[in-house]
Amino acid sequence: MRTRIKELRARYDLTQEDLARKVGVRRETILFLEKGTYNPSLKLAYDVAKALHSSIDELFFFDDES
Amino acid sequence: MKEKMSIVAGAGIAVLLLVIVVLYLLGPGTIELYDVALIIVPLILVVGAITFLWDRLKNVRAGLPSADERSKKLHWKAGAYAYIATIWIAIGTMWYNIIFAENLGYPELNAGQVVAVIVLLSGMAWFALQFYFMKHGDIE
Repeated sequence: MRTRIKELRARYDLTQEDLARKVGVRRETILFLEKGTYNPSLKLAYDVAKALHSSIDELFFFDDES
Repeated sequence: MKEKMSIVAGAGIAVLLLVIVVLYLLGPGTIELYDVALIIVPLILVVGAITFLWDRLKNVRAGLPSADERSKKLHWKAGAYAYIATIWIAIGTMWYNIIFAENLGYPELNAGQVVAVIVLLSGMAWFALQFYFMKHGDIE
């Protein structure tokens, strides 16, 4: 899984901690989401997308081969 | 508020355990290898608990939740794996008594020692698994 969280976070000048506070999760969760090593629940994916003024399908995507 | 209460309660239990260990160390009588193990293993558990609580406190102080969906999921998974480890530890103690104690002359573990070994090692397994899982993004 790949995400555009880091890109959008930079666009809105947010640190990982800022985004974590907005979403209500621990900072490491944002870190692992950005790295694509954590598959979030639909609720968390929605909350992150909302915090970054985006949508789930714009934020998270899978490589075709995966 | 609930998070702070649970952290304070956890810290209280950790301190209480530490006091018990210190009192035990200061107590009369000779200390043998088995007794040393019974001191070191709870000490590791207490240090693990303090580290765990410190991590939670750090998040609360930063205005972040002490636990979220990822940490809860990984804690449950660590618990499930630790349960399996507990079963193997129990089987291990049985094998020890059959193979080492009965056939090779090693000291036999009595019921109390078996319970102590199972409780302490499964607790250590739970902490170790939690730390391992928390260092990874997700465990499939």
